[in-house]
Amino acid sequence: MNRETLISIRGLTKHYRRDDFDIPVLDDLDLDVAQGDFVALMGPSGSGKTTLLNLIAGIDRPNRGSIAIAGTDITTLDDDALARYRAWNVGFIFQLYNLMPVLTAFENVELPLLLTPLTRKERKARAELALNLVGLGDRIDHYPRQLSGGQEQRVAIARAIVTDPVLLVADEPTGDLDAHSAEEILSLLDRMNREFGKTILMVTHDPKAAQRAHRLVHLEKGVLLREEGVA
Amino acid sequence: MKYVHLIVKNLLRNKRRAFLTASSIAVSLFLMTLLITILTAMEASTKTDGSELRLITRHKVSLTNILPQSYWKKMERVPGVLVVCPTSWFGGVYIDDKNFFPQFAVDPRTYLDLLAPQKTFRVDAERARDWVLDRRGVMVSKALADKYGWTIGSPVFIKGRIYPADLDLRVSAIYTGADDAVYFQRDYLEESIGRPGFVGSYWIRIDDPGHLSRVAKAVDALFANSDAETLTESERAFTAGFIQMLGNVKGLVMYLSLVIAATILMVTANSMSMSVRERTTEVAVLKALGFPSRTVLVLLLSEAVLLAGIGGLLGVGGFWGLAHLIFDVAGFRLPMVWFTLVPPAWLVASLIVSSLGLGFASGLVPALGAARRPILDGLRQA
Repeated sequence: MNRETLISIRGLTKHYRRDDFDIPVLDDLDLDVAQGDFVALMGPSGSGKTTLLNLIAGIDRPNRGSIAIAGTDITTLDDDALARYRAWNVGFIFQLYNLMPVLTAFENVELPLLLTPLTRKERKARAELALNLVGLGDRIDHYPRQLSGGQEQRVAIARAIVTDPVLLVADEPTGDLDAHSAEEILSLLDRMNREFGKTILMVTHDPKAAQRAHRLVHLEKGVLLREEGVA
Repeated sequence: MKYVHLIVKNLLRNKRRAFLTASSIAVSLFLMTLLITILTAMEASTKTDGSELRLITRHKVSLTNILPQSYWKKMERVPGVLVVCPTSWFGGVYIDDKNFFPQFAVDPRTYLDLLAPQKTFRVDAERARDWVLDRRGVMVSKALADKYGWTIGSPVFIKGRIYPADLDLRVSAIYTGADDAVYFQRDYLEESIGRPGFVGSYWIRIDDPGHLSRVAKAVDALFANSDAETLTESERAFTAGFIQMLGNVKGLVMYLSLVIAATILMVTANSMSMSVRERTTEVAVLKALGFPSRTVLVLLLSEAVLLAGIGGLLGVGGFWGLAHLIFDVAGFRLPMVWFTLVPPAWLVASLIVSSLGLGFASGLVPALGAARRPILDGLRQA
């Protein structure tokens, strides 16, 4: 299958300073991800997988190298342009869901749409559609505290897809869930990828979760150790 | 407008804290409104309309020293003088000491002439004539008439305390004007105390505000080196001097207002700091979702402004409502005070706008900190 490249990373280097120490996290990394791919980033703690995800998502900046998303090098964007990039192109799914506790499921999903010129009626229709897609159409008025962990993560997925982004980034999306809920979330991500063509980058420690991806990328000490396809 | 819901929900996430903060602001602004209203009312009382044409002549030594009645006709001959009205502060008791209101013995004809240019002074012409003709007649303010249930013909008995005479008066006229007092004929007072020919002070109306200084000097020159030398000053200067006898009220009010403003600033800043600190992760998530830093800044500042605004509305609006009920509706008057404490509309509006400004100032530091914090720092707090 010959698909267009969505993400093209070249010479990506990132290091952090902690007090007087310079800690390398990613070292001259190259990676391509095709449109519609489902990539699992794996590796031990401190291998740089979450840093790589954050850099691709545009919430961190590299020290060196380029990250081209659909032809645009996001490392050259200023803060406002980077915020716009995130709003329009990236859907975030966090390990701890990170929903706003004072907002209902509907309001949480509607949140990214506040940045768009959509009318209130249009926002309502899209938020309800996203919640229906994740199977929570009957929970729109529930607050996060009134939902189970799995349901909260499904609201987070609805929030991630509501703006119809090209890329979903998931940082340990099943890390805080029981096996059953984890399975539901992975199935949902799989559906987003297969039915809606979303490109997904997922950081995970769980080999079972990684098996849902098309491609496994193993990182260790900031370098790409190996890549493998999943049957 | 689409963010209003988000701002309100975040503001009310900790209802007890929001309530306590808004209440602190409200109480502080209630107090500040009271202080500034007193100051404003005192200053406004020195600027009644027509006061630029009026002078007051009193004994040079002090206000309590009296002047001879013989000065009256001499003062009328000074060029530029149109009217001279002799007045005396009676200072009696109506029923009991709680019922304080100013009581003046005046010459009714010249008193009405004196106030002729004052647009805010209104009295029925026929009733005013009755007052002039009735030696025991008294002209009372509408507020006092309403308070004590006086109507035309009502008896008003005032027991003398400074003068050895009691006044048995009848309401002849009811006026509306800049003050709340009763005015009766000085002839009646003179007759009651054996015609000593004393006058407390003279109120003068001149032909042109530009002649004020010249007339004042000319009047004082008439009685220089006499037993009772005079001090003539504009009505505004006289009233302002009267206020100054209370001390540096303006300075005191200003310092207290500054302390109150600083308190509001600290209370709101503390509340906002706590509120922002406990949702560091949420702010980071908002930014990760694509909210620009300035939008986050505006959202957080709006919360602080809204909170302070609610406090301001409750405090300032609450004071206005209460004062309106007490002074305007119920007609209550404070003892020994000649003005009411209803804040003018411009003061209410200014203080509410100031509360919004204080909210903005208090929210600025925590909001800027949250807006500038890197997203990853915020997400790591989770």
